[in-house]
Amino acid sequence: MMKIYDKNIEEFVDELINSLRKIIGDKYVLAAVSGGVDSTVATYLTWLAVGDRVKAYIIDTGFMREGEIEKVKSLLESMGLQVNIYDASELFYNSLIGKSDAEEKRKIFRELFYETLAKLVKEENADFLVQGTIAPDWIETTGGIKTQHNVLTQIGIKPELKYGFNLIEPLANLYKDQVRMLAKYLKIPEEIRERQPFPGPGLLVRCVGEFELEKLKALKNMTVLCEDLLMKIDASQSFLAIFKKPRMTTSKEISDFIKEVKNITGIGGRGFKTFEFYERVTGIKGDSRVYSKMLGIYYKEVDLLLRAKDEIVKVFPKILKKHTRIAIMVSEPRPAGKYAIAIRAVKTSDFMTASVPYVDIKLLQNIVDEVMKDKRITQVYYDITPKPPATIEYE
Amino acid sequence: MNKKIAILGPGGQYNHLIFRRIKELGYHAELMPLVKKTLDKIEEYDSIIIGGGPARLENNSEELKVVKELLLNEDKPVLGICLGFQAISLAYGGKLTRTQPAFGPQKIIVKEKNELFEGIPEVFLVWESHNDTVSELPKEFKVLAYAEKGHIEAAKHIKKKIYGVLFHPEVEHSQFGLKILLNFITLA
Repeated sequence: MMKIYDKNIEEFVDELINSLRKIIGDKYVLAAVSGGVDSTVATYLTWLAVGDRVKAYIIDTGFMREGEIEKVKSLLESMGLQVNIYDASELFYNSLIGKSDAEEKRKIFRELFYETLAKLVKEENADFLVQGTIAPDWIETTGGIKTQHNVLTQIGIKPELKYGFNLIEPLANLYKDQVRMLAKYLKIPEEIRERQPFPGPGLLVRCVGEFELEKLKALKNMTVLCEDLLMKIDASQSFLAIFKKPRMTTSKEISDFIKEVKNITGIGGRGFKTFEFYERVTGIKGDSRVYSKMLGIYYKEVDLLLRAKDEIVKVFPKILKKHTRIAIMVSEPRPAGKYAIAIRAVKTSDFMTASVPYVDIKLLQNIVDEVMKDKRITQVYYDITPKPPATIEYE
Repeated sequence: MNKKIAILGPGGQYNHLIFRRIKELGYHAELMPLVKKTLDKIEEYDSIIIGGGPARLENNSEELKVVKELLLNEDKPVLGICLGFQAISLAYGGKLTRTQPAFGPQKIIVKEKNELFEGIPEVFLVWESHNDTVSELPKEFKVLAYAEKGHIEAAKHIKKKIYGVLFHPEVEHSQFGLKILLNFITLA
């Protein structure tokens, strides 16, 4: 029998639906859905509680993947929900172009997101907003790791005063694997249930550093091209992120690091190169946020490096004080081009900690071949850093 | 009897996972701040876990005073996890160092058969996330486990039921984590 914490799932769901009925009374509710399992389960439970008094909206922020909104709408409608799409992409683009700092980007996104929802709540004469916030969202926001777009009350923002609605977060104390159990119990389609998590601010936080439309366009294009290949990686989540082309670099610390890698793995000597990314990326060390650089490493025998990844990630925090992550270059460096791509893949069920799987070099090469068709791309990396000390996303 | 476990959390994210695991094991758990007022409430609990947190506990910090008072007055089983272990070590006069930060997977080796690691292999994989390590254990303590290449991973008080682990048994990537928590709860 499935259990959520110490309760049977049946009892857990009954209690949740009853309490939703009690809170909502005879009022109307707006639901913000993205097509991910969290917002879908939250909306579906509310729909079970109060029926068509729930108005579900997908906000088109412009940062969803190509074709995603239409796909999500039809999936949700197959469950009986009525879903509206609201296009706010211009507003989001205009406010975010040129912004570089991870937290600033996330905070601007959150403000625009809630201003848009507040407008819709008013138009629909609703009193409540239901959303799929789960435990890691507010744990990471209140812990100062990263501002999740859907966390307000936990950091002292009063939505009823600021935006004119009361917030309902039926899943706020659950983790992803528990939400998936609920989805299974509620018979939510497997395609939604087992969907890889996709961050609220979407591809915005995968256009690492300064946000430019060209970066986003390139990333959207590549995400489509590589979708099937990325799904072949044995991972709970696998995606691409785009960076400015890193520069070759060295320092005393870095040469100490290279020596230590040679010591413990035997890999090194001539032909071992290091690249520094321009952008800072988010990490988590001993429960504190860090925001520092990623180091790219290159060696002609890529597979040797890949097989030594666990040794390398274990040693780097002891030596490299300015770097949060290590990524292995899996392409040949190409002189032309302005962007680099990082392949990120992790294994986890609750997304609080995550390991990085070994990926077959042939599969990585296939991804590289697809990505390098775009002449704007100069290098492709595989990020080998677990969580901690990295986070799963870059910003 | 349904045992009650108090989790004193100095702000760490994984403390919420300790709460989750204990509930899943079928026991009552309560997450409380590591402050003096909390000490008045722990009377009704069977055992106490001191969890992790982002800060380094300096020798004269309020939190460390609370830990000292707790350890001095309680005979209940106490388990320190990560920062909690560091705090217990400091409270008894041990020392910390910043030279061995470790994040992510770590192989650990159990040095001595003991009740905390009962029914667990001698070598297994855990996850950790710490800037500080215990470089000098207080004289009232003995080492239970080491990391493969170095630092102390687990220790216990020679006479009292006070334990510390530097790794995080509550995260899904640590092997035998639930078993370790269960072993601890069983001591009460």
